Amino acid sequence: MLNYFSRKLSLLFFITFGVTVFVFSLNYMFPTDVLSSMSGLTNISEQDYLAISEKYHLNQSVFIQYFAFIGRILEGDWGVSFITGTSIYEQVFRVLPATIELAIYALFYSFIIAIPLGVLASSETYPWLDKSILALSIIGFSMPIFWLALLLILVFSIGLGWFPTSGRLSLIYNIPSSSGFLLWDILRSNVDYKAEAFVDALRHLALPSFVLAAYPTTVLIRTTRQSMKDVMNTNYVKAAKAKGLSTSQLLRRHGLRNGLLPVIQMLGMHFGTVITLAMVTEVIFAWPGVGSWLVDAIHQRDYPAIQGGLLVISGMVFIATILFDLLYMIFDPIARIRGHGKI
Amino acid sequence: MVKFRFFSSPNNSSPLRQLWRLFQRNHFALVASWVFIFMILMAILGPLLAPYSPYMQQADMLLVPPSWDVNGYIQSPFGTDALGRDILSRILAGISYSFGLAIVAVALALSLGLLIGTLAGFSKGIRASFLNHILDIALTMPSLLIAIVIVAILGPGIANSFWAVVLAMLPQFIHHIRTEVADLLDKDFVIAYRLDGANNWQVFRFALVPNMIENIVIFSTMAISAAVLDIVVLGFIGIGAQSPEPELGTMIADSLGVFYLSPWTVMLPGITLFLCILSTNIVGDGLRHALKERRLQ
Repeated sequence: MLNYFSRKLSLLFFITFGVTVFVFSLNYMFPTDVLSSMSGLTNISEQDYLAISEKYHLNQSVFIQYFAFIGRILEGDWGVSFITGTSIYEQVFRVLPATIELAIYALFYSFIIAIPLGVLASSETYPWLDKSILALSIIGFSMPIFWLALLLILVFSIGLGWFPTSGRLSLIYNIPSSSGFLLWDILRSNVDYKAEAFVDALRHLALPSFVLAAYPTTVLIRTTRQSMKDVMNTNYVKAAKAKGLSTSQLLRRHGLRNGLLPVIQMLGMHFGTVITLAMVTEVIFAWPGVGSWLVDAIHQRDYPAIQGGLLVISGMVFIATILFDLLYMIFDPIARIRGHGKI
Repeated sequence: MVKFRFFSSPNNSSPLRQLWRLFQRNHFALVASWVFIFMILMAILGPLLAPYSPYMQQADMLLVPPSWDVNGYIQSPFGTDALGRDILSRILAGISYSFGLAIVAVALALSLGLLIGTLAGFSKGIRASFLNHILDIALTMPSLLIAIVIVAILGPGIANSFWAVVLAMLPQFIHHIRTEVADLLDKDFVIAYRLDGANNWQVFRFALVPNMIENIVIFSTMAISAAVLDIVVLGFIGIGAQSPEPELGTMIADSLGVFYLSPWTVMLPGITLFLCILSTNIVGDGLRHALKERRLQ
């Protein structure tokens, strides 16, 4: 266990090193002046140039520059944006909670839908159920996410008018932002329209989280189905059945405990994909998260902002992957003896 | 499982032919494979079959509905978009952009991955461990995110998004092939072949490739659908193919403004895209099932 833990820690260290080296090298890869992409200042006069490059250690070797870069990242000095001239560190961490909120609700959503469907599909009593659930999941898997979003907007927002098309909260509610997680902020605020604002936030959340949940749901359905089939065929489940346990007892005591292990692993493996899909969802629903912010930065060639966004998103993906991996390891002792490249 | 097969003769056809025979039993997958082949044909021939140029704008035919609508014309069977461009021609060209380019990207990533993955599978010790760490990093990053990063460096454009998709898929291919090669090299029949005096190239050509090919085909099929999605999403969020180009995702993004007025400008490219990805996925799934069955026999 400790051995595994230390291996994961060393992996985390190596990954952090790799990502920071990559983000640092972006300074040299972007088609702009190295100093401006590091500092975010566009028009640097000749007198200032020397002083600023002194601050960024540009006249010293690349290694010194790299360590200065790490130091600046730890201090929270991520440069300023080309477009707005404000600190990137503050911008990123202002928009990040919206993305995390969206991703977590979508994962929660898909967990609730996918596990029962997967268990149902794995039962051999109803083969037609299995087939229709599988067909549904392969259709959901093949649906381009933005097209699904457009279809849902057409039906539920334009046609039926149930849900709003964009944004996180209607403009008539003013919620003071403390943590950035909207639902939590609403609950903690002391305004007199709390309940209405909460319902409005939920209505805004419904379509984006449903769209985002489509992909993890299909993946989870297939994983759950397969692993439940495998578990239900094992000898210990057959023995328990012979002992006279009812189906629900079988599921609760033996089936789900073992069958849901690969699901945790799958969640970890697909968390990165969910985050990238969240970026696309944000663009469509004008959700003010890190994804739409990064896409804007790419459009505007805002190189310091691209760097900051990449650093945060990849950092988030890596940390989440390793956390899921550790979680999996805590639940499944057999998983601790494993090789590389299986994250 | 039927244990005694009195009426079946021993099957001596090649593994790929057996795979195909088992695949044909699944009718959904068979139909999907016809759609898949049709889409490939369209990707090759589409630009030749298109009645108009995908860029030609007809000022007197703006937002004409499809021909099955009362107000539609037969000149443009799928209608026209907000600039009077024929949607059928644009979709035909778009298939070769989105679907055709994805297949080329997968083929390129596959050949590069086969090269690097095999070399890595043969290597041992510190080189292999170094590659493992690099792969650990690259595999954690989702391919779309890598593609977005690469496009951010290279700048928007269809050519850049093509390279981005190739590079983004490469780690998966390398990892897949490397594990496969490393597994196979430990097998007894490969060791026996080596003891017969086969060199590395012969081991690769006559022992590894025949045993890997099915898995590679299935993996590539799944990779095609991922590649189509990546290219299209890049086009849709505006950092892939740029506006006048008839790439399906870009077309959908372009028509968003008139979506509520004339939904066919978004629906028809979307349905085409959906058919491409769905058929690819079903074919991949069918192949995987067929392979599983063949291994059981």
